[in-house]
Amino acid sequence: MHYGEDSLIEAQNISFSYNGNVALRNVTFSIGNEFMVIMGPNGSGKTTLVKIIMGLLKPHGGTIKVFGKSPEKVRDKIGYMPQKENIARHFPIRAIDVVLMGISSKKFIGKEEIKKARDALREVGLEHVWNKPFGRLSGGQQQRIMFARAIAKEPSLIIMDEPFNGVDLPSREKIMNALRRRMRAGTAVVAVLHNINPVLHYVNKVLLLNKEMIAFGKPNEVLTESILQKAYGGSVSVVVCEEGYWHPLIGDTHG
Amino acid sequence: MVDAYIMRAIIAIFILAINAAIAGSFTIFKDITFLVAGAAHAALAGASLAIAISLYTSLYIDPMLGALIFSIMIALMAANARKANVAVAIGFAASMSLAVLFISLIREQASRVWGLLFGDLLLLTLHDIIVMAIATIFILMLVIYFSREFLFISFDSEGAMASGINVKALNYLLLSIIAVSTVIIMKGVGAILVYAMLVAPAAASNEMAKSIMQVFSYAALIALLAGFSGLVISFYFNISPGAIASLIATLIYFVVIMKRR
Repeated sequence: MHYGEDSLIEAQNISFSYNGNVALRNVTFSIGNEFMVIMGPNGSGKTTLVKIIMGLLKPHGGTIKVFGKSPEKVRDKIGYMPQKENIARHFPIRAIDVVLMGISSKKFIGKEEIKKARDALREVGLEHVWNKPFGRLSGGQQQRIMFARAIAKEPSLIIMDEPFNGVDLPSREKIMNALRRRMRAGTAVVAVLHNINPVLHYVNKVLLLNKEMIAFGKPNEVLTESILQKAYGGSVSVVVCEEGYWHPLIGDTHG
Repeated sequence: MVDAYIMRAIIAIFILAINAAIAGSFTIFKDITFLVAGAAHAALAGASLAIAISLYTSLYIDPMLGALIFSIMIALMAANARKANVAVAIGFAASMSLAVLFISLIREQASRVWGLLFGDLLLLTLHDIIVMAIATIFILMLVIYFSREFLFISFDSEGAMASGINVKALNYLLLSIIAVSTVIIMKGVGAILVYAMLVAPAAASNEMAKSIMQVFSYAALIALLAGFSGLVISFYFNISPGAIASLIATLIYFVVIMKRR
């Protein structure tokens, strides 16, 4: 099913606080089958918003609908790639077993699931390490496997929280290529990123946060020096590339 | 013909190995090895309270039931806390205070608690073996049924939650299973050595293995090797089999980590 202009995620006046400390306030946006990047300084509520979109946190105010429903009802349509800091690497779970986690909540795994997992690994160029312990692979390979897990069940929406942190260039390219193939096939993407520049040319919408919504819109509407200054609290230079995209010079000092 | 008590010790070693493989490995995966020490000491408090109640009231409570309840309580506390190891540490301290308090109330029966503190593979009764075996089969079935979920919540609890797994409930269950395994092994080797027998085989195995199945199987093999060596050595030299088994299990761990460097 195709979700048009603004019906894939619809958020109205979302707010959330942790023990009385406001994490998000009055966030309103809506997207269709698009690539949206959530940006903002550390502690600006980016991960909180992602968790609300996935139904892991319930907003204290406002409403959110994903695919027209309450988020926890559409989890099978969402492929999630969490922040790498939250993943255990100290036991020898094999790469393919990590990918299989993303596919099915079924008790026992059959040939079909294994084929899907192998296909996803092939898509990120890592089919040959299927048997290797996840923790013994390089940081970039680990992130590619986490991405393979997110896409293995053919989700309609991929959500990624800082997917490129500590990722080498070839791995980032592999993830981006796979992501673009998915986007062409109609998959929507929401990504939390400190540094938007590597993906900027493919982004449809940018949501700029600093506990409240600073701006939401097309990249060139949002990524202006004055708006970025409002979000980051300091001056942020913007460089316009040959293709006419506005690249904010932030990100290198983070993550 | 093997003496009945030796036969019981042999069966106990197999039971111990299954628990060391399953619960031991998951304490490593969940990074909560301290829970084993906490649950063992909570079990002491529970057992001594049960003995005290039986002594001072007309109610009879099996000390093992008291041990189980207290050790599961500490597991639930750990599962509910933001910092599980801190909760276990506080639970450990509280349990020991309670254990000392209850033991002081049951002076003439205190030796029954000391039995739990040190345990003895050669003193297990048929009743003990049956209870240990039934509890182990139950644990085995639960872990096989929930193996994917338990691995998922150990690997990445946020991802597990996002895919619709009830992480909170399964975390309570997994930590409770570890606590029950602790009490089962405690019967054989005592509260002090249970940490070595439950954690060391899985910790050594985790260093060597290249897959989860290998972690389970190597841990079982190490526990069996340690258990039987302990039994044989104790037979010839008249020393505690649990102590020798624990020494061998911990020695294997040290050898493995030295070799890995």
